[in-house]
Amino acid sequence: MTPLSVAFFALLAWMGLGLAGSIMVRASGKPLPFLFSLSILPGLAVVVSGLWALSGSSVYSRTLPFGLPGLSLQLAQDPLSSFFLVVLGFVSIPVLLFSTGFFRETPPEKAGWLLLWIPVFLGTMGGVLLAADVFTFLLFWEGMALASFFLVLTDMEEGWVRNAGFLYLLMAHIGTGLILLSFILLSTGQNGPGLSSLSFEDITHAILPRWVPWSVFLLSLAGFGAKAGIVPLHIWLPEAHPAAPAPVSALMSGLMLKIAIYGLMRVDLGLLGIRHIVPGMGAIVMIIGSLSALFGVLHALMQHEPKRLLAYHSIENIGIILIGFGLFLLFWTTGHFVPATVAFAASLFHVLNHALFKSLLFLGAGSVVQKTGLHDLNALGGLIKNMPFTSIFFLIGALSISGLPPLNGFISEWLTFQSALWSTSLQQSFLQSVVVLSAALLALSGALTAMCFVKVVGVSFLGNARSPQAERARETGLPEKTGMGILSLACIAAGLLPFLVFRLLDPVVFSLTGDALPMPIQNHPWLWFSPISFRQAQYSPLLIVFFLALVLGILFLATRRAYSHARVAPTWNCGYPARRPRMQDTADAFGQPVRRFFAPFFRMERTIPVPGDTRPEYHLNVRDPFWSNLYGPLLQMVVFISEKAEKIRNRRISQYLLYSFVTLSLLLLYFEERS
Amino acid sequence: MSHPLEQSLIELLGGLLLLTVFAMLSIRRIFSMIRIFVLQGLILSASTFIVGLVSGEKHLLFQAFITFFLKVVVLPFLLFRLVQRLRLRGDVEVVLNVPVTMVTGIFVVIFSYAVASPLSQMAMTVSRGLIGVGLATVLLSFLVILTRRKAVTQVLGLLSLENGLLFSATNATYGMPMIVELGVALDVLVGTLLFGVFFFQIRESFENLDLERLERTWED
Repeated sequence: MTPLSVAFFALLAWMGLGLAGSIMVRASGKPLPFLFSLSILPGLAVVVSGLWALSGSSVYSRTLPFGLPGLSLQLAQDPLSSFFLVVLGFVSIPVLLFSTGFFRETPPEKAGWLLLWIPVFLGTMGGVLLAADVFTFLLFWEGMALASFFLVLTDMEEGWVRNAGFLYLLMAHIGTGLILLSFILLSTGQNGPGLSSLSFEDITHAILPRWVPWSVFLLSLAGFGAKAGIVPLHIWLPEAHPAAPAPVSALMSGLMLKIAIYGLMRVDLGLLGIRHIVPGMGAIVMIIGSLSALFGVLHALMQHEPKRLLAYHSIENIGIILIGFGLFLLFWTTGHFVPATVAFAASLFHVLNHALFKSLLFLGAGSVVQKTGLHDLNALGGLIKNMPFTSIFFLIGALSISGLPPLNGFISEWLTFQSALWSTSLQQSFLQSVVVLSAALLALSGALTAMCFVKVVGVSFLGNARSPQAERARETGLPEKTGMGILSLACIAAGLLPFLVFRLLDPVVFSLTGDALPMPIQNHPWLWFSPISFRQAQYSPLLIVFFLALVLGILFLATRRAYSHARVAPTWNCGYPARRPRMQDTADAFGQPVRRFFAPFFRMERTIPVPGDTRPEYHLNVRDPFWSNLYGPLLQMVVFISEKAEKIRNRRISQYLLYSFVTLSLLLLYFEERS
Repeated sequence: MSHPLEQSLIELLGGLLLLTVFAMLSIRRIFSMIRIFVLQGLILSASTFIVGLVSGEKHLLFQAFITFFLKVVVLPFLLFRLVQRLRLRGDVEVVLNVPVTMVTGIFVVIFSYAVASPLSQMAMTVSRGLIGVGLATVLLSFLVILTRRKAVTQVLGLLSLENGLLFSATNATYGMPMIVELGVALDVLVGTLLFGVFFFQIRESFENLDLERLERTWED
């Protein structure tokens, strides 16, 4: 019995439960959402397996007795996979719990569909983490892409959902193609395994020609980036997330994007090997990361569809993870090991954090959408009165994502800054400026994130209802509340006790770099968190909580007397003769200053009423500039080339065949001349 | 060479393979063409099997079985059924007359041997002399596709082209990796099924399987 076998059987159980669940739904003709709760057990097993493996530092591997003839599936579990397994298993539990309540009213055929694909999706994600050869990796990777594609298509009777699904599938396949190319390049090096044996173990021993590392790096960055949603390959995220049901969005954004990050780390650190990395690669990762972070948050500010807004925030957070990863590559290759390991830990920490708070936020947004039936922030308002639990949980997620202490989001961003502070020790001024600029952009996007969530929470949960649906909204059920509650508690716990997470990260960093985290041993790790040394960068979340509570308590006691005679009246009821919900600030209005300031980042269509108009109307449509500036011209180019190629087409099939024949013969001749 | 008997067997099979392609080039009846294709599959799987035995490469044995199953059993069955269902008349119309095609074919064989000679010198396999045969099979099959007018015969040419590729790969490098071979095998199977569907569609729309008709509709 090894952690690997536990994880492996858990994955099998997930797939089996998926099949069994869909069959039971079909047989009974009822939605049976409680079946989701069965999938929680494999989730627990995956967490246990990950924690168990992380308690030591050994690598477990096994070859499965099945697969293609001569190519059995190979699995391995090292600390990096174990850490991501912990994230996967832990987040799956509350999401599955949430699903048992959320899909209560779903029609049976859709419930059967979800009961099949959600566990299969989880199982294939775990398979990607355990894969130890190229074939197994791609098998599970594609399985994951297909399962999530089917999940996006849950409401496929709507046209825009089908379009979103197609766009997602297209980007996923482009990404997989690039990943496949990078694997092929890796396996054809000298001493490499060639294409006959594709195990990761053999690939690491290959001696690569000089141009290969850069190509592999760029291909893997683009390939995994298409899945993770880096700019400019992010276009599917804001379309697919609103199309999918909330728990599916939570899994896709919270977990699947992380699997892509895992793939990037696996290929660049595990297979390519850190000896092939040069500082320039770190700089590129940082530049792309900072651009994604800024672009994501700016567009998030413009959205008034909650799930689309969260999708843009996923782009931003992937950017933050990549900034940390890029800092690691950059510092490591220039020989600054202390900031490098801290940056790597920060990046991995943010992987965990984003998985926790983004799934929490998606579940919260999903509850709001389900209970109000509205997809527009501008029609919500005052929900805290009817949905107090959802509001509190959403607020916790919002505080986390905004990077405010004492919650978990603060710690990973703070660690990233701690690492970036070492920029002065870099020799090249170019690298120095990249680090400084990225840190500045990270700070900017952090502040803008906070602004964005002030907008979301303020517009949807506070104030007065802007529509009758929002006024009639009811609190979600117990399973939903429990699911969101677990995630909220996890956000708080990871924020208050960061050293526990660091204990999980230490073996991961050690196994990939051969260097331990610089965190010194101390007597009271729960009180003072010092990731680098005692003299530098200490943080005490518990003390912050203590002083916050103290100040708030004193304020409360001091002002209680003043408010004890206060009357309770409706919000904003101060002096307006005709008070209407329409008078409140809207989501669009909230983003207006930013929209003005960062105008080049958007593509806007506006109609502004002129003075004297008797029926004034205001329309605003903010679009992604990458559609018109990158993908539009690309499409035009394809059409242009096709039209030119049309000219050599003279409508005789045998002539086309002749073209191929002549081309083949000429290539053969050319080959003969060369050799 | 330590396996004189096997060596000459492989060479004999190579020669036979080349003959079958020439037969395909000259024959005018669809049923006979399918029978020749069966023969080709038999030769191919036998030679792969022998190369596998001599070289000790286990996956070549797998491949021989897959080839046999697919190209001697499944595909001919599908093709025969297709031809019967389509109720095709036996004759094959050709674009170029047969003698001219045959002479062109001879030149193609010489060309492919010339091209393959550096490859044969590089290869380390027992049967490296036969790379030229494989290449010739590929190019001749191309010729089959080029000179035929009916869609079914063109598909037969395509399948024979694939046979030639497999033969070259087996003799040059003991075959492609297992994944590639399985992928190709699956592609061929799916391709044939799809072609079948297409033929029915084409005939429903044009009441004929002659590609000339299709070309004419494009011009409209």
